[in-house]
Amino acid sequence: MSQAATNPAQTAVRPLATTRLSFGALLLGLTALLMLSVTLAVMIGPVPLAPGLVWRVALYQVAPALVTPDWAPFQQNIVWEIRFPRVLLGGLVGAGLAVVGATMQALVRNPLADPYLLGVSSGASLGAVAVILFGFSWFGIFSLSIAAFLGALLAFGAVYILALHGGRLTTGRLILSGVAVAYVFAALTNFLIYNADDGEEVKSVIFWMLGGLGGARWDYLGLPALALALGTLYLTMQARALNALSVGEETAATLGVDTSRFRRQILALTSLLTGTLVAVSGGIGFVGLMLPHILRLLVGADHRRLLPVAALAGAIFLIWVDVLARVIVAPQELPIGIITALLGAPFFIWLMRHSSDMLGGRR
Amino acid sequence: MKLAVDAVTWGVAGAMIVRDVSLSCAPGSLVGLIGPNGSGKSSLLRCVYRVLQPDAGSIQLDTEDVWRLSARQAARHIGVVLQEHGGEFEFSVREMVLMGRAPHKALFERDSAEDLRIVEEALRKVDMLEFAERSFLTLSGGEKQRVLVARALAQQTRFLALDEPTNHLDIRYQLEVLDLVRGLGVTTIAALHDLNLAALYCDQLYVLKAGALVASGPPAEVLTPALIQSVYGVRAEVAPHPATGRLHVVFLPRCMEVSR
Amino acid sequence: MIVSIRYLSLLAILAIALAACGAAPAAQPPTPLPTGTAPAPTQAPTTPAPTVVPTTVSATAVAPISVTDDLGRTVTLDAVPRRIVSLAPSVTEILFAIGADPRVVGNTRFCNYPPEAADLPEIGGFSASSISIEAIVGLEPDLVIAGTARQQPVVEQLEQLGVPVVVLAPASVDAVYASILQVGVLTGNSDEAMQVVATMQDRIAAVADVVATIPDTERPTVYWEVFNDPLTTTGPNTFIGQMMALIGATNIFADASEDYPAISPETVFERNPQVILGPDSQGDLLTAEALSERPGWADIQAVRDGRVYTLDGDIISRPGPRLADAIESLAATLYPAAFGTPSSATGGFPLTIENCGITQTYDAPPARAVTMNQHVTEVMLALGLQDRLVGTAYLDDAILPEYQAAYDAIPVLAEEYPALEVLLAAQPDFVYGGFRSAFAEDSGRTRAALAENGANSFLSTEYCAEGPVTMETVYADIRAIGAIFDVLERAEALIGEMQAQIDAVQAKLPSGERLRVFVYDSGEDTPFTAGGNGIANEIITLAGGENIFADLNETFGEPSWEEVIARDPEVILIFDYGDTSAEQKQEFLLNTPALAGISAIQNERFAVLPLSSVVAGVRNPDAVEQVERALYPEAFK
Repeated sequence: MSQAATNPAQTAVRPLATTRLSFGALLLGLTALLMLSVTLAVMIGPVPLAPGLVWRVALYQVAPALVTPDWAPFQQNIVWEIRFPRVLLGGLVGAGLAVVGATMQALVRNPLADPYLLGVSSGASLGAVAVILFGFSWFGIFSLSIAAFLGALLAFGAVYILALHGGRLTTGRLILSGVAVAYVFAALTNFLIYNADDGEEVKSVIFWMLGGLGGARWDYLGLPALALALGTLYLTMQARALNALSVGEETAATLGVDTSRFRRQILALTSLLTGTLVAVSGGIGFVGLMLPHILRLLVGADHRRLLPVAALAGAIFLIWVDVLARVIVAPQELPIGIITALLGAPFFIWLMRHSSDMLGGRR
Repeated sequence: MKLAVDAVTWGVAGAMIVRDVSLSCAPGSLVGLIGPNGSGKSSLLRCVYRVLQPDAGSIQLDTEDVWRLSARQAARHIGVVLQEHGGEFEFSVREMVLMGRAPHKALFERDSAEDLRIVEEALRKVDMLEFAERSFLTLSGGEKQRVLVARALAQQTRFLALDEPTNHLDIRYQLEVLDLVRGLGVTTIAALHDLNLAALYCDQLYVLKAGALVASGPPAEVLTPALIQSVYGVRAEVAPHPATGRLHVVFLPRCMEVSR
Repeated sequence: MIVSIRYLSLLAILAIALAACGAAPAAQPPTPLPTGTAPAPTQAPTTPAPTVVPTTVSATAVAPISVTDDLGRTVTLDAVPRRIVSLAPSVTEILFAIGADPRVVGNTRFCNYPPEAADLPEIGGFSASSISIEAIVGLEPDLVIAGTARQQPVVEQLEQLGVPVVVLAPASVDAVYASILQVGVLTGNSDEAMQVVATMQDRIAAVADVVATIPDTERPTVYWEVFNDPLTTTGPNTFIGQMMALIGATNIFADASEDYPAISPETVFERNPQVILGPDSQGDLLTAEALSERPGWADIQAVRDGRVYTLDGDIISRPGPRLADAIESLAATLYPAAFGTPSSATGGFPLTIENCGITQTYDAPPARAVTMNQHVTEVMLALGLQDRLVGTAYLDDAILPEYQAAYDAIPVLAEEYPALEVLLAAQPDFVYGGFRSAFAEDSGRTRAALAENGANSFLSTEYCAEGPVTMETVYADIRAIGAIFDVLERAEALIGEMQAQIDAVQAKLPSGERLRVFVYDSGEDTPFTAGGNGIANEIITLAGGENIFADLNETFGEPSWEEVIARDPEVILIFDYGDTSAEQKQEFLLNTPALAGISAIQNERFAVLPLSSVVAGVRNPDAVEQVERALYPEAFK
């Protein structure tokens, strides 16, 4: 067959990572960047500390024999109990949100999807707000997180049941149920907030809903780390199915994907993962929506590439956003959600304008 | 691979879309499914390629009921060219075709050199190799269609189901695709719009009207003016064409009378 | 310095009082105004200290009343308001404290002190959007008092509807005084308001005096945690911030620019506070144990030393009459050695008290106390414990005016002693009896019966003392009550005041022979008099007199008239109570021929004391003074 009737000038090569070798290099580069980010982020905070001190404290925790402590207890506490857990949690949450965001967009075939599509965030908010305003403390320090997680599950359950139709879940019904449930939970949350006359509690609620890593501690890291690792692994394994599903429902079916079962699995997994993340960090927005788009522009839509890159890039992004949150109005803190919004939207607009006319990239 | 569709019935919301249809495809044959819009062709095909589950009846490939297979197993046997195109996300043409290899890949298996070769081969067959790195979404309708055919080819199945594969295609590509499919020697069932293409390429035709089978057989037997009038509601003249030796249908619009 | 501010403020108060009294005939029964003329408003002098908010005050407590509120609005009332709505808990507390509470017809749902305030109709919450204009208007108020500038939208709407609204928005302790005085002017209760302010100032000054003696090395650095997520503290300009500065503590975030900044725990670690405080709404979270669970907090000095306390959130956040409570509470928490045990929920308990032969244990301060007999009621009120009282009984005459407002807010269970059922119906967990008869065997109201019903009890130890009762007995009871209710610092303060008064009065005693005094309680055939064991005897002794029956080994006794005549008293002290008036008793004595030879009768030297003053209680110093004046009038000229 002879030449197609299209402009050869349009046959541009995708900018990055076309071969397996350069994709590997990209992963390596991102990992290195992540390590660097963690290193730098731990050195920054409202209380000035010498960089060397930070790393000696870290080393001391890991291999006490090698270092003789010459710092004040409060300095060690700042580095090891405050900054390290916080930076690591930021990395975990950023990675998780980006991975889930990419997955949700594939699942519902909609570029505007994000981890909170199915009401998970509003459910978590309701749980958290109830604890903050009514002061339940059955689980001690974990009360807030557990309540948020249960709220997330409750919301997901409601969405699932609403969307089920004839034993099957369709994408359209999922989205609509998600919106409906989110509205209901948001209304309940707002009602509780409105009735709370204690200004401090309301501020606390808002602070939580805007997302923050302020309460990070080592205890909080275990579960999210496990969920993230298993979740990302599973999703990457299912990357081909996600690819197919993102093209079309029938396409996926004809390529061997048991669509309704697969969708249920993905939904459950992403809701659990998102619920876990939101429980420890509040509702941090934009990361899950925006980062996958930016990354698709760089590595394409194939989830076998997209998901690992999303995890690494998401981690790096949120770690730096948190640094800003800590530093901009020190010794006070800004909620992270405000910064992600301020940073993310304009950047995305810029990126869109500098790409080709399609919502995608130059090819 | 042979296909046996036995008394398949399918309906939705109380309406019967496919009524008690039975058909069979001999191994290696190209079977055409014709009928006007809304006659249930697509739905029947969906039952065949295991996306819709019939309310009654069975669909068997060789001796296996397709619903007894898992989706993955079925996908290894049935390759489909759909009407559904593209979606929202930027996959390259090569990546699109590579998806056709998915049913054969285990969970952790990476794409082998063999897979890449199969994909290249498929693209070459549909004359889309130059577009391998292009974004699928930037192609024209016809180009997309050809890529989807390539994907079905890459799937390397012994049975193909084509849902109106020649829509959007220039006449040249219509002929080329059907030539290609015919030349594969794979059992194929295709829903076709164009009666003349059906007559040219198909070994067997099944005619659907309002969900029910009204005629079946080789084109020469099935395509009669009486049938065309009753199914499509138009007057036509049917006669073998000297250049092809196959039946040719001429439609007679109301404003033209045949003048002898 | 707090002392000079206090004197300047007193000056301002005096000036206002003079202005109020000077230009009008009386602050008492309202006199009808001459028609057509309005009294000229007089200006309260602005003092050099910037802390007193100048108020423009009308010359009389009678209409019209014109004030300028904290938002600079001038509000004029045509008459003394009879239906007042309060928009803030602090305003409600002020209204109740100055005795204007009968006229309060509505308040917010957060108005919970005194307890009766919670029963009033509610007009909403505290924020502007939660307040119902309809509810307010439905109560037909002639005065609405708002508690913060943030209620502005409500204020504007009410203005449009023609309802007079005054906005109080005090931001400092002195501004709180001015607010209380302003409410006093508005309600025509200026006297009571001044009394409240004076009491507050006295108490705060007393605290300041003690604080002044504390060396710098013992003044702690303090971290006040408003909220834990986000970690929020207080800057220097909030009430807490000011109070901490007032009592010489250093707020580690005194350099913050906001009132309630959200801060990072890093900074708390760095600044290593010696004491950590917070409102009791944070109760579970602010214990040394809970804090040590926060990563890295266990090394903070306050946590290591266990100096983590919470204070009653209501009293520290409301700019009202209980600010003095707040400051005392704060001072006692930070300087326990100087002020007694800190008022935290975990200090001092469980407590075991032995009283009149019965030993009882208290796990926590009682919350539902009932007092029977006036003098013990007054002890509780003097200790500021009105919020723990759910019932009183058996008033002798009238409660001391300074406690009247608080007293009125507490249900009276009976005119004399309540029946056991009535007493138990109040569900008391503590019953304080003033006389033995309060727990009389035949009344069923025995201490054992009460204990069976879940109430601890306390009998004034005047009635089970072995040996003579002195002021120390009174003080010991006050201390015991102070310990039971965990207000020891207030108890010590009260004792200090009482003793100071007695010392002052004794300083005036002339040298020389003591006058002989006969106490006439009642009795015609035989006299009922005070013996050597009761407090009456002590009062007489302290007042420089000599009880002729000091050798009678009882609190009250019945000698004979012959003995009275034989001992020839120079002054007869009549106890006034009950149906027979003091005049009638005096008449009787004067007209009894047998007694005509007694020096006191011949010189007609009588003194009268209400019975309520001569039982062990807070009136005793006053009684000492009164008796001394009666015995040695020249000493007081």
